[in-house]
Amino acid sequence: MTAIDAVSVFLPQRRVPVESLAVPLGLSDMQVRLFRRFHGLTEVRRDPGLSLTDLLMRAAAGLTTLSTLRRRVRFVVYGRAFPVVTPYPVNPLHEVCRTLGLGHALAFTLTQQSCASALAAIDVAGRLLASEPDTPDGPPLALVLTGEKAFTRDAQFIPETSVFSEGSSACLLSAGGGRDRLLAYACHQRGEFDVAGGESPARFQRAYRPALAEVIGRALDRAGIGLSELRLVLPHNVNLMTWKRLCRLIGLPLDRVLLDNVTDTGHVFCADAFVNYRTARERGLLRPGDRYLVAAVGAGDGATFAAMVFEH
Amino acid sequence: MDDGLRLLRAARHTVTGPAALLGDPRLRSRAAEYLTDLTRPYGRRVPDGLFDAPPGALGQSYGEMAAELIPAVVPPDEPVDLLVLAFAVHDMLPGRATAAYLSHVCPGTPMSFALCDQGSAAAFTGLRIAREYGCRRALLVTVEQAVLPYDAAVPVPARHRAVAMLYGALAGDGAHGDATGNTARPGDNGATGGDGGAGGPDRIELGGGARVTALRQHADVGTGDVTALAAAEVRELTSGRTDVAVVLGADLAAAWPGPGGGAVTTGPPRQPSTGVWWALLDRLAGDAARPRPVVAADYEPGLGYLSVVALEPAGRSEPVGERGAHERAQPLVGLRGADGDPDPGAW
Repeated sequence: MTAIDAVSVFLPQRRVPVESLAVPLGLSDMQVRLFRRFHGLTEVRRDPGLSLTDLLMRAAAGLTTLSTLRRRVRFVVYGRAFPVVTPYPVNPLHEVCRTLGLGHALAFTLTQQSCASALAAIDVAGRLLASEPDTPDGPPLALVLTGEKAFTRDAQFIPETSVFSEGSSACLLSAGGGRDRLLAYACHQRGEFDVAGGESPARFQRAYRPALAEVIGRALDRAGIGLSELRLVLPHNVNLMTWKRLCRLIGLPLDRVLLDNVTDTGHVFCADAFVNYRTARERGLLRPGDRYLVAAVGAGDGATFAAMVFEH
Repeated sequence: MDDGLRLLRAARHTVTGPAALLGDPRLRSRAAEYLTDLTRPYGRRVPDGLFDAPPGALGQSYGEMAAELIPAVVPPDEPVDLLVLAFAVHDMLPGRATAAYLSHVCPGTPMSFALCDQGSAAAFTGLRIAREYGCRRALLVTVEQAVLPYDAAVPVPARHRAVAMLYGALAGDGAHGDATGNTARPGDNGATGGDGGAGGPDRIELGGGARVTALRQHADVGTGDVTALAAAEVRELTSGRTDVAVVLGADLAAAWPGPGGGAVTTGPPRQPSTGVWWALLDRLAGDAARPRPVVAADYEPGLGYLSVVALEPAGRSEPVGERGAHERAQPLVGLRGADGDPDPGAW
């Protein structure tokens, strides 16, 4: 069973108030107020001095055991919201692998599920590990990376919905670890909301919460547990209002959702799950045996709704 | 050993027309802004006025290229569980979640994602993931376009090409009623092993399909080591057999120590993402009257990946692929050439 053995997160120190985004993004005062007061998004992390490679390296550097375990790493899977983030053939993923001494691993990027790509990366890495033979140094491991720059307008904010923070994460997975075991994964895609799919943004807004509720329910069913058995929900940091309304829709107490990072980091692309996991661990919110759910929505062109249930 | 998948159907095409979506001024504007911002930090530049050009001069949309192939390989009553889109060079709508859209237009609304940043190895990785999913049917699409909208200073693919391959689980074999893949469907154009020209997708006739009997990938393979490693892999996977065809991607064929001669089919040059698969389909279609095992291999020189797949056409009793240790010492006969080509009938 796929398990998370270690997690590291990197967020740039530099904080940018949402008001500072108004001029460069052409936002009106009303739009800024919407972000701050309605959605609870007050600031994001951005550092123009850090490259994408820098972000990935900072996260990997936080995995203190990686250097001693690196020979067991057979797969490096980079889950990324934006499909193309460098001109071809610039390849930060393989730069990072070479620097970390992971050239022996099979490394690739998994994308086009927007911000839900990280959960698919965990699922894929776990499946690859399950049939991988032991290495001479022990059972095989996978390194799942996330990390993105707010390099273009589409990567800076989602109109009327969210603002993006730069950041990154690194996560070591095993096929048989016992720390955070993956019990279930559910994913549902709505490609009709792509630019060629013919559906309207308004219809997407109406479909959003029911679709997320459905995929959460499916993940819980697969895990064989009910909503009330969840100790915690680690959300995507899209905004506060979405989660308040979703909680009403599915009957989940709002205090069961770790929303603290929405306010001061915003939406860290695919890294939200790991940012929130780190916070949960730091605050002692997870005890052995606790079940928790991770939710993600990829809402670029086309939409992906995904949820995972873990046991800590 | 069996790798649990059978190649059921395949289609491919060379695209010469414009991408319809690039005729939309709003999408052109978004793409121009995205690409300009993408290249700026790396000191590269999108030429002024590029997006004022007619859509036909701009490049392609992988969503359109792949969507055209889906009806040729997936009938409506055969839902797909997993769709993997593999690419190296990106398309002209680089911010789009194309795989999510393809899920929408593919029977079964499959789980879908794209694999990239791995050069020519990405499609092999996609096949490997399909194997691990153990799903009823998996659709693997590999795409490339012959355009980069900035001064990349690297060769681009020679043509806009896409290859779609529908794989089914061996248990139950995936297809309804006809596991041979012979059923004609809307979208078929009747072509068999053609060149995938501008007339639309070519469906490749695969007879009863082909089982994937081995699938291997090696990382960190230097250019000085790849020929020996590839030869060893091909030798192991063909050991003891005199009737195995070998298909090599152009980058690997260029370094191949061959003779090889008539037993080796080489992928078209400057088609790194589709070339080996294009040639593999040629090989399978060409051998339809007299099916024989095929080993296909490709090398990604920039990133150091060697990927190898072995397939066994339906109707054969002895698979090529994983063999017992006692068999591995057998000589490599499939690649002998001038000194005694064991397969004069091959290309």
